[in-house]
Amino acid sequence: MITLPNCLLLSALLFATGVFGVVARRNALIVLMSVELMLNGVNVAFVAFARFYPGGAGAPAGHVFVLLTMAVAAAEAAVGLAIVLAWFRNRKTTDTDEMRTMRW
Amino acid sequence: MPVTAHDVLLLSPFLAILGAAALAVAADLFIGRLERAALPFLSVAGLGAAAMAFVNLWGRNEEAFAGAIRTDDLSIVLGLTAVGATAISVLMSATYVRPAAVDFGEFYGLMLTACAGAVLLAQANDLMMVFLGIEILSISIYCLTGITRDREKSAEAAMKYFIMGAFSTGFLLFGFAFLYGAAASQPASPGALSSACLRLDSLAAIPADNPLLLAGLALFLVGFSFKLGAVPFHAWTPDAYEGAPAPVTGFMSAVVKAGAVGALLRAATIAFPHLAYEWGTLLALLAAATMIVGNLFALAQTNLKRLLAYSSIGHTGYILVGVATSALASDGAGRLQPESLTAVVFYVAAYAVTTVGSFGIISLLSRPGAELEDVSHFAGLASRRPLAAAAMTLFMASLAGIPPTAGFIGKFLIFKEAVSSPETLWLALIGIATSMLSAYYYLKIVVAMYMRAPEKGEEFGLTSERWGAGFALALSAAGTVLLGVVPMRLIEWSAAAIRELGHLL
Repeated sequence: MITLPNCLLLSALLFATGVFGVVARRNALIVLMSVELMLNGVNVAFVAFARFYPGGAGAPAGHVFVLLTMAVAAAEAAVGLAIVLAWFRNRKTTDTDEMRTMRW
Repeated sequence: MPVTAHDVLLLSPFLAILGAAALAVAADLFIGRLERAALPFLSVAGLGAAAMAFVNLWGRNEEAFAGAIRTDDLSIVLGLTAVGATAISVLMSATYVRPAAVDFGEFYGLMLTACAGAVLLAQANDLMMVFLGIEILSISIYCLTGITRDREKSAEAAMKYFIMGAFSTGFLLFGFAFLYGAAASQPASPGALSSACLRLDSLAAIPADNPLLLAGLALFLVGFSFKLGAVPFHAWTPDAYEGAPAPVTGFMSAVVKAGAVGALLRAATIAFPHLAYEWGTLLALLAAATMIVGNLFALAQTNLKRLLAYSSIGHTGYILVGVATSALASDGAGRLQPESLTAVVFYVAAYAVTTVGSFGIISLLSRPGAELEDVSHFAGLASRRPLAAAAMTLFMASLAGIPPTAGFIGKFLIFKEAVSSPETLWLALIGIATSMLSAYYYLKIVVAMYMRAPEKGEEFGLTSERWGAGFALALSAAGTVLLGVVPMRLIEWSAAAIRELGHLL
C-alpha cells in the first residue's frame, strides 16, 4: 500500500541505512555512497509529503526541493570524490581508520 | 513569477561576489604566473562592490523572489561581517598561497563563493535558500581545506570535514523535509504560492504540538550545531582547523559563524518563536557543554591551530548562550528577548575581526612545509617581529575578553543579559568561569612571545608581498580596538537589525 506512513517508513529506512553506512563502514567510497543514500531518503520524504498533501499549498515546492537536492548532492559528490582522490594520493589507501595524522 | 529588477537589486551583494569569483577563475586562464598577484585585488574589488551594495540597501528591509530571500538589516550586518572577514583573509593569504603554489584563480574564487554562500545564508528566508546557502558555503570550504593537496594533513582534514559536513547536511535536510511536511499539511491560504510553505515564517503558524514540526526542529538544531561546531557535534573542528592552510582556517572560523548565526537568528525569531522554551532549553544545554569542553580541551593543547580551534568551539558556546537567553527570557507566548540577540550579532562581528587577525599572524609567519604550529614556535617573537607580536597580543586579549577590546564588549553584552534573567544565571556563571580559564591558554601564547628565548633553528620569517598582509592585519587590529573602544555604533546597528525581525518583547 502506498500511503504516507509507508513512504515515510521507506524514507526513514533509506536514511538509517545511510547513517549506518557512514558510521560503520571504513572505506571512504562506501561512506560517500552512504551519504548519497541519506540524501535519497530525504528526497523520498519530500516527494511523499508533496504527493499526499495536495490539499495544502505545498505540492510543487517539494518536487522542486528534490531537484535542488539532487543538483547539490551531485556537486557534493564531485568534491567528495576529488578529496578522496587527493587523500588517496597521499596515503595509498581509502580506509578511513588510517585518517589519524591528527587526533585530540 | 517573473524576476524583477527589485529582486536583482536585493540580491546584488551576492551577485557581485559571485561575479568576482567567476572573474577570478576566468582571468586565471589568461594570465601568467606573475600576474596572479593581481587576483587578490580583483577579489577585494568584488567584495568592495558587495559592501557598497549592502550599504545601499541598509534600512530597506524588503523581501525578494516571492519571499525566498530577505535583505534586512540583520543580513546586512552579518553579510558585511562575512565580506570584511573575507577581504582581510584574501589579502593575508597571498603570502601563504604563493610560496605554496596554490595561488591560482580557483583559490580566490572558492573564497569568494564561500563568502557568497554565507551572504545568501544570512539573507535566506525560506528552507530552500537556507539549504542552498549552507551548501555553497560548505562545499567551497571543503575544497579550500584540502587545497594544499600534497600536504597529507590538508587532504586528511578535507576528508574529515567533508564526511562530517555531508553527514550533518543529511540530518539538516531530513529536518527540512519534516518541516516542509508540517507546513504542507496545513490548510492553504487562498491564492498563496506553493513555495509559501517553505518560508520560515509559515512555520510559526503551525501548532506547536505538531510532531513533524518538533522532529524537524530537532534535526535542524543538530544540523546547525554541526556547522557551528557545538559540542557534541564538534569532533571535526580541531582536525579541519589544523589541517587547513592557515589563512583558510581564520576565514572559515569567521565566515561560517557569520552565515550560520544569521540563519539561526532568523529561524529562531521568525520560524520557531512559539517553540522558544523547547529550543532554548536544548541550546542552553548545548551551550554549557560547548563552553566547558571547548575551553578545557584548549587548555591541554600545544598546537596553536588546534588551540584556536577549541577556542572557537568555546566561542560558539558563548554565542549559543546569547541565543538561549533570548528564548529562556521570553514571555512564553512567542516573543523573544531582543537584547541578547543584539549581543549575539555584536559578538559574531567582534569574533570575526579578531579571529581572522590571529590566523593572519599564523599564516604570515608560516611557510609551505614549515607551518608555524606549535606554541613554542612563537618563543621570542617579540624581539624579532615586534609588530606581529603586539598584534597577536591584542588578538589574544580580545579572544580572552580583556578590555579594551572587541571581545570584552561582546562577552560583556552576552553575560549581562544572561545574568539578569534567573533561568540563565547558571549559564552566565559557567561562561564567566570558562572565560577566566581561557585567559590561561591565550596568555600562554603571549608569554611565549615576550618572555621566552627563541629556539634554535626555528626561524619563522617572511617572504614577499608583506604589505598587503600588513594592511589587512592593521585593518583587523584596528577593528578589534575600535569595537572595544567605541562599540556603540555597531551595537545600535545590531539592535536595529534585531528589532526589525519581529516576534520580540
